Amino acid sequence: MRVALVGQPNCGKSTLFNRLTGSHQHVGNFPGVTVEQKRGRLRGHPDVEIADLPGLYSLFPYSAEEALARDFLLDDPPDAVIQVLDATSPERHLYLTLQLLELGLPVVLALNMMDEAQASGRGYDLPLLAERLGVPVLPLCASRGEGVDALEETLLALHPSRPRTFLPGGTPLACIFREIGALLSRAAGEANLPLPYLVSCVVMGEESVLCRLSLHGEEQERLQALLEGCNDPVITLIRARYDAVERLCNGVTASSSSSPQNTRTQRADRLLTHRLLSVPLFFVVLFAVFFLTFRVFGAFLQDVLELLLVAASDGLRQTLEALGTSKVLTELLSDGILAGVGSVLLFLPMILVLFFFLSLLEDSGYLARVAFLLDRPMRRLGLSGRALVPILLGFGCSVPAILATRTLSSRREKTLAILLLPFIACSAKIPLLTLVCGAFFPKEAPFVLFALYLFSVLAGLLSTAFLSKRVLPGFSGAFLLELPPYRLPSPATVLLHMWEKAKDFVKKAFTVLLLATIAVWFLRSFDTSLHFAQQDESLLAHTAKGFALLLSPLGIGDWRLAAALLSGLSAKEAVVSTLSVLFGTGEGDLAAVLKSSGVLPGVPAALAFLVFFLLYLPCFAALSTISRELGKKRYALAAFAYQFAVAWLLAFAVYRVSMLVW
Amino acid sequence: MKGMILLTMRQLSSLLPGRSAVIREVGGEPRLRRRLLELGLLPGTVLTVCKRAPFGDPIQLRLRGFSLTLRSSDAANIRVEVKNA
Repeated sequence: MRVALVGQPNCGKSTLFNRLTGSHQHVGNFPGVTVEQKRGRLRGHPDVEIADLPGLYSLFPYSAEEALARDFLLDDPPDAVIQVLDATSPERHLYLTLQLLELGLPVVLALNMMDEAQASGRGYDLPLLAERLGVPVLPLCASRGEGVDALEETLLALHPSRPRTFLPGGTPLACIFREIGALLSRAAGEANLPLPYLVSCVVMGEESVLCRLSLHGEEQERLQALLEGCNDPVITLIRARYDAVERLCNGVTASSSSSPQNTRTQRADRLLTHRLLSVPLFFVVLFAVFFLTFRVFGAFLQDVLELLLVAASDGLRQTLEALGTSKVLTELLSDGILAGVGSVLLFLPMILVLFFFLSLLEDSGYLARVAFLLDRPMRRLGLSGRALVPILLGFGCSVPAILATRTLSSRREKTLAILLLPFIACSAKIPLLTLVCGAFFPKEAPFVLFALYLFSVLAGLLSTAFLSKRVLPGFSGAFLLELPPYRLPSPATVLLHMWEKAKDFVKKAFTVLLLATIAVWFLRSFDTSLHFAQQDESLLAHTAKGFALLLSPLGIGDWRLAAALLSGLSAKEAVVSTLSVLFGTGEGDLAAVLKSSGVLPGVPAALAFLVFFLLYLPCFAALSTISRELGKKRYALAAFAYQFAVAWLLAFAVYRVSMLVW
Repeated sequence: MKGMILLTMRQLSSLLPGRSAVIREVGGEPRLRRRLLELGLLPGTVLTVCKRAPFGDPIQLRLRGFSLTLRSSDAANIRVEVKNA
């Protein structure tokens, strides 16, 4: 059984998804297109697959993401649909319900945030609403998990359904609907699409669906004539739907005058979107996130983890020696794998803390405010305030950030945002950044780190301004954004989110990074004739020396740095693990070795290395996502060449300028 | 009488924060117009302008129990009638 989870943005859909699936989640593809989509299996029912569709306001899409959700329901109809509604303001959500019923899929409605609705004095006659709509309606409080069991039961017992439309008979609109329906019925049957929705598509002018129908010339002319006979059909249909919603709600629920949630939100917004204070406040928030991540929580947790790892490594070495394991194997295990993977695992706490803050900013509703505050300056770059959401997510991981660009309303803005994201330092770059900063700027490390982040962001913004004026001139479309009420994300959701990140990270450490580490260890241990060789004569040295030539004008011509940067294409954390292997040290000593061995002879070379590392190509996972989302291989290749050239030039500039200072 | 109505019909973008008005006409680019209408910005709907963003644009509206933000240039395509204070 396949189930789709549908709802407007900010209705608590993802919270319910987590409740229904627990940790049985995976990323699948939308049918037909290689676009990623979140899926999971219902707890206790492995045969029930639930797809978490992107939020949508209506089945007449305005963004690429909404179009994906709509096409999913149309092209590959699921066996059941759960629509999540916000019980505190049901009218607009019921508007979407009426459209869903036109698709003819079995629907169950879940009225979420029932507790908030009750607190604001809004009551419901749910049986009456269920009777009027002809579908089951259930109360839900997803954040506390109340009502989830009943929802599961109802879901599993859903009956097949037929497409229905909720327009009152006898009105002029209903007549036109009937006539259009009669005209379309043949083509609808051929295309196997639900007729009532197709009729709505005709009235609303939804060409993306109508172009799938094979209509005769005569049929098209008669359709045209019918539409011309109607005065502003779009507004008439939308108003008829809102009227239908009003009739549905009449006697079922009454709108409450003011909810405590709204009052709280308005009070918070007085400060958070204040005319003068809000923008400085945003930068304070950013700095606080940064400081707490790197200095307070992250550093503390890292110390604890380091003690554990050192103990584990000593234990392993002693055990291996006691067992009398061969020298090569001991070296591979302790210097290769443990030094490599361990040096990266150390950074897990920091990365988790960063993800915690990012999801808090997003789920609380604050990011929407930031988009509102900064829309105007963003417009100068050819972007809109909405693009700030993927940009800030990019500090966590580029892949979800690239996917988040689908919420942008125009193709041009999406392209510009994707091209900006490689400039945003993802959390996988944290290990190397903190390592090198710590070695060269022991006292001012957090400030240098902040300056580096700022530098890469500014470089990205300048690049976007250049691209939007010179390469992709045009207009990016409108800015339309709902500001949801502030809500504290439920601890369960946040914990699950962090658990998933931790799982991903550990998985990456023991798959991609482990393989990269072993490969690097192997390549540096043997020469071209596969003999155990000195590092400088190894296969790796031969491969990396070519790349190192390209980097020598930046003051970082040592082949070991080049090899590390190359391995960073598998995952950015691999740069640290590769350096650990090549220098045969753990993370603790690596910084000192880098500085004392003369590989990075001074501050200018260190800065150039960091700048190049920050800006050169993203990892393979991000590269392939970019290539997929940009659509054409050609564009992706041009984008990567551009990114590499920018990284080289800026690192060169930083190297030369800082030579004058240090 | 007709002159009176013309006088009170204004572009939504010209409304000062804190003022309420009734929507009379929604125009503009068809896809955006359709979306605005679907979000409930139908003629006859009452809305309030909450505030402008710090850089003067976009503006925040409140209607039907939710908050929506849009740019002045798009709000200019929405004509409203200001309610008497």
